[in-house]
Formats: sequence, structure tokens, C-alpha cells
Amino acid sequence: MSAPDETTSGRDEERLDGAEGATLSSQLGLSEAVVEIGPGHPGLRRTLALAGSTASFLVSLDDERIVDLEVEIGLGHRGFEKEVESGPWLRALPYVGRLGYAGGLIAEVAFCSGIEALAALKPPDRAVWLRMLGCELARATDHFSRLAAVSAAVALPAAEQCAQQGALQAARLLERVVGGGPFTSWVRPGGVRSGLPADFEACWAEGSRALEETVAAFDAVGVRNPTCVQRLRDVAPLAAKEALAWSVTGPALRATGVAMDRRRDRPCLAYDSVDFDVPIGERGDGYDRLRVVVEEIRQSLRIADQSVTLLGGLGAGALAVEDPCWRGGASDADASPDVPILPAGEVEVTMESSTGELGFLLVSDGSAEPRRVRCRAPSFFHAQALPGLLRGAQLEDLLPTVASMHLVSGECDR
Amino acid sequence: MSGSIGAGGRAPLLDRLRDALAEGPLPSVRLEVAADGMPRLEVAATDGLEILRWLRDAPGLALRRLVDLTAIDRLDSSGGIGSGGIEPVGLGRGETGPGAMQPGDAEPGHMESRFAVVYSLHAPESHDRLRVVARVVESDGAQGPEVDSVVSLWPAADWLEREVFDLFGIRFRGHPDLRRILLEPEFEGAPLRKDHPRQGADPGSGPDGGRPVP
Repeated sequence: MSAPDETTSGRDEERLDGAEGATLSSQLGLSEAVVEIGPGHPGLRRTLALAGSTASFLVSLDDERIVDLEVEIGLGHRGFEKEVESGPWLRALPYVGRLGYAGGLIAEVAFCSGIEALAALKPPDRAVWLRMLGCELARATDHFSRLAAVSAAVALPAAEQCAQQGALQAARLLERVVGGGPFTSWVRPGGVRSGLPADFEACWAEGSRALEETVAAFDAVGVRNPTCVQRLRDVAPLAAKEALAWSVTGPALRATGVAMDRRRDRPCLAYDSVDFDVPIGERGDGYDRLRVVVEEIRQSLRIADQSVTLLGGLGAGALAVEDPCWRGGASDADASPDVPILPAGEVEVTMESSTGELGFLLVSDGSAEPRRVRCRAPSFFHAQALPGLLRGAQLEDLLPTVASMHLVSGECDR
Repeated sequence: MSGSIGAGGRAPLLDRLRDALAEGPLPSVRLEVAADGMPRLEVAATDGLEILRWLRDAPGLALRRLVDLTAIDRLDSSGGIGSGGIEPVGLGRGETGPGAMQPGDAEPGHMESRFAVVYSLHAPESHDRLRVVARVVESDGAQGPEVDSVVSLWPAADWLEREVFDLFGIRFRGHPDLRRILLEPEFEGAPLRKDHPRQGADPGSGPDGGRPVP
């Protein structure tokens, strides 16, 4: 990767001379070095996996400068779409939840909303508000994890620890809502499985205060930390026009100054009944991506707080549609609560997940198995945009950028 | 999800599309509303690129962002090609725009088109959304089903078309680098086709004597 000793003298001058046209490597008669980085296992810490990704990167380097980059995905491919198209509709639910970490809950809500649209089911108000509370706590958990990944990638252990703590606090509250750890299949077509525990309001009062303190603490040790600013400012900037051309969504798009948020533009659940802001950035660089994520945690807590208050007032209403009548089968005898037969039709649902615009295209042909289940995964688009972001950047910028673009292999590779 | 189609006091996208289709010298298309209330435009695969470019650039529409690109296989378990559910059901079923083809018209390739390539479009300013469905006949290309690539319109289509090629075996004419993306290069078959078995291709034909992979 580096040149032999005898040719490295006067390297700095040569680099300056070579700024126009010819690269240092070509001046020295060297071919570019190609380094393969990754893949990492998503369970490993302090690797790429911190960003939750199994992607691997073929990096062409001129010295430390990234000349070109090829992103390889697919190692985490589990045949998600084939699997869920090969069984009854409801068998898909456990797979859907595993598209992400905490954010898998948002995918479950999207998928169930799609089934509800096909079957013309309307979940009760209480379930709608519970889902929204769950989604926002899941978003806060994922966002904190992303902050931890970026902090680790720019070597700020104090900020990383602070963000990990936030992720844990948010995840604990989420556990109280969904009644257990991750992957509980709490969301189901027609509603949710359980309501809030009796002591939740006290739990929320304490937990939300602690979370707000953690966000404030991250501001101090992360966002305003000079090292953080220096390592992320103007790194891997994305322009709004490019972001739209590559269909980048979520915090990475909003960091470019585009105030596009599904929750506000076409509100689902009860997002049109709550107050929240859509934070945007200006430069679309790594630093703006970080700041937007921090602000979004605050907004998620705002929405969650309004949801908890409203749920307290709603009392003990129904949690789900009672005995959903699954219509549309060849005969009514074919339909059962376990193997619903949905009317033929196609439905596209999109939600604002923690990574970006997460959607499903569900096509029913009127049989017991889905004709098509397509998952539009924001991470896939973000991985595709990485070469454009990183060409010309330094090698050390790779990890923070991958982390701030938030690749989740579960949804990217499916 | 949203029932209303219009935004910001303008005429709903459906009306604007209908007007624009009546004016434009476009190939025959079919405009409908799908079960989710979203406008849906069905076109022949050969006209896809031209229509998509027009939808992206027409000032009154400006569907500038490609949200998603995927495919649907309509093959039935009996080996025939059914409606496959891609005939929309619900509000305004079978609604057609002026200048559009009537459902009863002879549509070459309509019933024989096994595959549909689906494009989801979004107008970032008005938040309008539209789904464009291109009917692809299995024998459209020399090497199986083939449609024009839209990478020239949206760079985001690059990986999306590679994925459809990978999992459905549909080729994209003019794609800069058409190769598998999620599966390994040695993989044989197109797993999201309905005739591809869930457990993998015929286990008896493998070099290891057909033992299933543990």
C-alpha cells in the first residue's frame, strides 16, 4: 500500500505538485492499492458491524485517499421475500420483525398496516397510539445505537458510552411497552397484543427524564466535542439533488436540507395529531447527519410523551379488531384466523423508519399465500450511494460515514 | 395508505395525469386506482422508458424520485398465467383515462405477460405517488424476459435492476453492469420466480449427490 522507503522522500511536496491531474501513485509509478475491508459480523463490536452491516468494501487507494470504492452486499441475504411468499400471510411476521434491530418494530407496523389495507381492517385508536409510542421508542433506540457507532468510528469512547446508555434506556422503555425483549410479535394485523403495564406512567416519567439527560450529555461529549466536529465536518457531504437521485431517505436526506419525512408528509398512525418538528441540516456532511439524528431523538421523545398522555386518557379500549373477518377467500370455510385469505389487490405502504423510508409492496391474488411481498429497504439505497459519497475522502472517513448512513444488514440484504 | 391523492390545493394527481395523457402523444396506457388508493399506470414494457422519462420531466407531474423498482411473477401453481393479483381491486376499478386502452381491447401480450416490472415514483414537492407497472412477456428478449434499463433516468435504479435480474432473471437492456447482487455469481436460477422451489433447485442433481445443505 505504501511506497518503498527510497521513493518516499519529498512526498509532501510531490503530493502538492500532484494535486492537479496525476496522482501521487502514478507519479511514483505505482498502481493504486486495492484494500478489502470487511465483511464484519453484525454481532462483533468495533468493526464495521458497529454500523450493523455485513457489507464489504473494495477500496482503491492513492496513499490514504479513496480513489474508488465498490460496496458488496448480500452476505446477510436470507431469502426473506421468497420465504414469506411461500407461506400464509401471518407466518411472515417473525421474519418482518428481524429486518432491523429495535427498528424491526416499525417494519412490523408497516407490514401489518398493509395487510389491514388489503383486508379493510381498521385497528382501534388505542392500538394506533400504542403502535406510535412503540415506533418512536424503537426509533430512539436505533438512533442512539447509530450515535454510538459514529462515536466509536471517530474514537470517542465517552460519547460512545453515553450513546450506548441512551440506547439501553430507550430499549428498556420499549420492552415495557411491547412486553419483553426484541422480536415479540407485539404488532399484529388488526392491532397490538398488549396494552401498557399498570405502572407505565411512573416508569415513563422517570425514563423520559433520564433519556433527555442522556441526549443533553451526548450534546456535550459528542456533538460539541472538537474532535467530533473535526472528524465529521465536511466529511462525505451529500447534496440534496444527489440524495434524491439515489433515493436516499431518512436522517441522511434531511441532513442535506430536504425536509422530507413520511410522518409529516403523509401521516399514518396518529402522526397528524401530535406536535413535532422535522429537523434538517445544511451541508449534508457527516456532522449534519449526526446532529439531525440527535435532534430526532428529542422529537421522538416529544411524540412518545404526547402518546403516553393520550393513552392515559383513552383508558381500557380494545387493543385489536375482535375476530377479524378475513374476507375474499374462495369460500368462507377456507378462511380462518390463522390462515387469512386476503382479497386480491395490491397495496404499497411506506413508513418513516429509523433508517429512512421503509416500505412494502403487498400483492394478494386472493389465495392463502402472498403473491408478492417486496420490502423497500432504505439501507439498500444508502449502501448504493456510498461510493459517490466517499470518492476523494480519506480512508479514515470510511467507518464514520458507513456508520452515519446507518446500514442495517437485516433490511439491506434481506 | 392515504386515501386522498391530491396535495396542496392542486388537482389530484389522477386528474392531472388523465389530462396530460389526453394531450400527450403517448403510447397506450391504462390508468387506474389500486386497492390502496394510489394511482397506477399499466404500460407495455416496450413503452416503459419513454413514459417514465415523461413522468419524471413533465412540469405538472415532476415525479422525480424513484422510490422502488421490483417485479411480480404471475405464474400460477397450475403453470398458467393468472391475473396474479396485479389487476387492482377497489375504488375505481378498471378506470381508464381518455386515449387509454379499454379493458376489452385486444392488448397484445396482456394475458401472456408473465412478469410485471413495478416502478414506484414520488414527487418530492407535492408528495404525489404513482405506481407504474410494465408488462413483460417471457420471450421479450433472446435470453428471456427483457426490458429497457432506467439507470439513465435514475442512478438509484442500478442496484434495483441488478436485484430484479438476480432474483427474477429479467434482463435490463442498457444497464451498465448487469450482474447478481444478493446471490453468489455461481448461483443457478432465479429464486423469486414462482416455479423456483423454496428449498432450492432439484436437490438430486447437485454434485454432492443431492444431500440437503445442513
